[in-house]
Amino acid sequence: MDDKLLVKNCLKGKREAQHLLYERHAEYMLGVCYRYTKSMSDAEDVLQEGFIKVFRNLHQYKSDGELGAWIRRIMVNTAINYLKQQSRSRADLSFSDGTLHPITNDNPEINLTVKELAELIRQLPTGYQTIFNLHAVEGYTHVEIGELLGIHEGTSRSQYARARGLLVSWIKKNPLENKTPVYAKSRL
Amino acid sequence: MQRADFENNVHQKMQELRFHPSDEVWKQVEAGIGSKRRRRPVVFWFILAGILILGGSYYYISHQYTENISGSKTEQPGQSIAGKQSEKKQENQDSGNQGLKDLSAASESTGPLNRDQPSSTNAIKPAKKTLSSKAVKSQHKKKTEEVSFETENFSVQQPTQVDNQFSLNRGMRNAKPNQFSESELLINSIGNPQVADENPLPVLAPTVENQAKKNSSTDKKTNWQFGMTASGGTSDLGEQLLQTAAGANFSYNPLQSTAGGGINRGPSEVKNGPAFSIGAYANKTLGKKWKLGMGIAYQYFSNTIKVGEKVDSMVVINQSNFAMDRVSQYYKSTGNSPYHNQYHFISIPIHAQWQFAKRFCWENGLVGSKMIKTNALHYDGVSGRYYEDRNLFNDYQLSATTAVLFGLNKNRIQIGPQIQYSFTNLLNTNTGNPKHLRSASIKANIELWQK
Repeated sequence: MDDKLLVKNCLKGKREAQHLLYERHAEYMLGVCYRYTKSMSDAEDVLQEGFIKVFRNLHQYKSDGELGAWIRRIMVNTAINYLKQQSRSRADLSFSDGTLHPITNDNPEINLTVKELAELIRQLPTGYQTIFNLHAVEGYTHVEIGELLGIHEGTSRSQYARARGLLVSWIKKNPLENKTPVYAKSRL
Repeated sequence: MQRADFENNVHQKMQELRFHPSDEVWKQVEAGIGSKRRRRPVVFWFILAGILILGGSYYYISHQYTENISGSKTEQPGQSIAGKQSEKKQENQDSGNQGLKDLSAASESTGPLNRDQPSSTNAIKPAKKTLSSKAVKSQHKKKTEEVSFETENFSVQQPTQVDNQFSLNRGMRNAKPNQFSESELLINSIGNPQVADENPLPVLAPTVENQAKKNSSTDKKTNWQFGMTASGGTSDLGEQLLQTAAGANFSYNPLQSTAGGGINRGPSEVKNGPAFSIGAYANKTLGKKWKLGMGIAYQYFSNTIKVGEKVDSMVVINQSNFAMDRVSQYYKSTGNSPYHNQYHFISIPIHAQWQFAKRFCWENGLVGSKMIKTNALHYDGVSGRYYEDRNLFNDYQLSATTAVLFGLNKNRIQIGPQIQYSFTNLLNTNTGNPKHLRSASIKANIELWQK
């Protein structure tokens, strides 16, 4: 069943079609959510909320675009909202935490598995993690990131540069081998 | 270029990142997309259907009853007398028919004779001879229809055999002499127009007066009204009359104002939920414009919050800086599943109605309620968990209601908007902000009978 027919059946309220759509995209979308959160439980909460939004807004999907990309955009927005909600009670989602991490233009070879690299990204402070994901992985421009997060474009650029520098330094040292992330050490 | 390579590498690797979600996620998604479409309409349609069925059936029954008695109420007793008097003067010559009318009316006071009423019409035979048979029949029919109201207490209302001499003789033979005092007078006057003209009212007057007395006594007796009441609408929680509660029920959230609370998250926003009530009432009329009433009702209130997945596990929850408790199951605070806090009450409403216009009345009342069941959740801001604890609720509530009701079907059905506010704190703890139930609904009172 192609996406067009699948969406049509979902809009008719057919539960089998909805489940099929979920099955097709859930694993990849959980990976997306995982990159923005700090635990698998949180990632699943975002995934759940995101899919509810997907089904409730499916009538807005235009079939000329790719369904996966549309769902991913919803997941990313849901994750951002989730992080903003968390930021009301947490201090660690800050886009200007005052800590100056080194900026580097090094371009190391990434000899890590997919999950190891994802783990490293998740070790970044939440603000860095969010901006790095949005720019490096999703391909958002700094202007778009500024609008999405409600920050200045320049802040996004500088935060990205520091996130990148931190990540590059970790990749070079491969902190996962020591089981203790560099970021955790630096906070201690 | 080198920088772009790094981002490209990261991007490509991240495209391969996949995890298999737990089965619970789909269940929650399924519940989330189903809840909005299924639950609300069922509750609202149920209430609406109930009100319509009750209202419709009552209207049908009362309409049937009105139709049955409408024939007998087309002429008021007083009007009937006046009409008859004027008719008598204009139709002096038609004394035979007048005699029939008087005879039938008079026969009400002579019960035993009335059962043989058909036979008594034979007595007017001589007078009828002056009219054509067709005219006699039509006038006879008309007159007997008029008379039927006055003889409604008797099984025989219309003469069926006008010329039944045998019935007359039998009726006359069976009747006791003292039962014919008025009838004999009329019968004797039938053949004599002058006599009938001179003595028409002395015989009729007592009968009609009795009927008028009967009617007025019926009016006086309608001091009590009994019926059913139902309402349907929406409810929520308020910290004051016009201030919506920040969190549902009991919320212990000591870290709310401090940043960096770690696991602390604020309690979910409280949204409206359906509310309805159904019950019975008795009203007592006090003067022309006032009624005082009392009743018994079942009341349902609800509101909606967002919670995460349910966990069956024994945990300790915090209720204040000093109080802790243990619960065997709880809901996570991270999640988007709607949860309906439900409150069930048995209530005794007392109300006063003021009829300020022909069809409008203003009803104010007090409602004493006892909570019989609830599944409402409290919030522990320290651990970020929602949990059930009936002991934190105040079982007894006192509420005020006000409603403006529009009357239908002679005010036997009243319908209009109503608001209710509970004075008493829903919670029995002084810790945290007080919570008060509020509701706005459409109310319907349906009067079923009077006494």
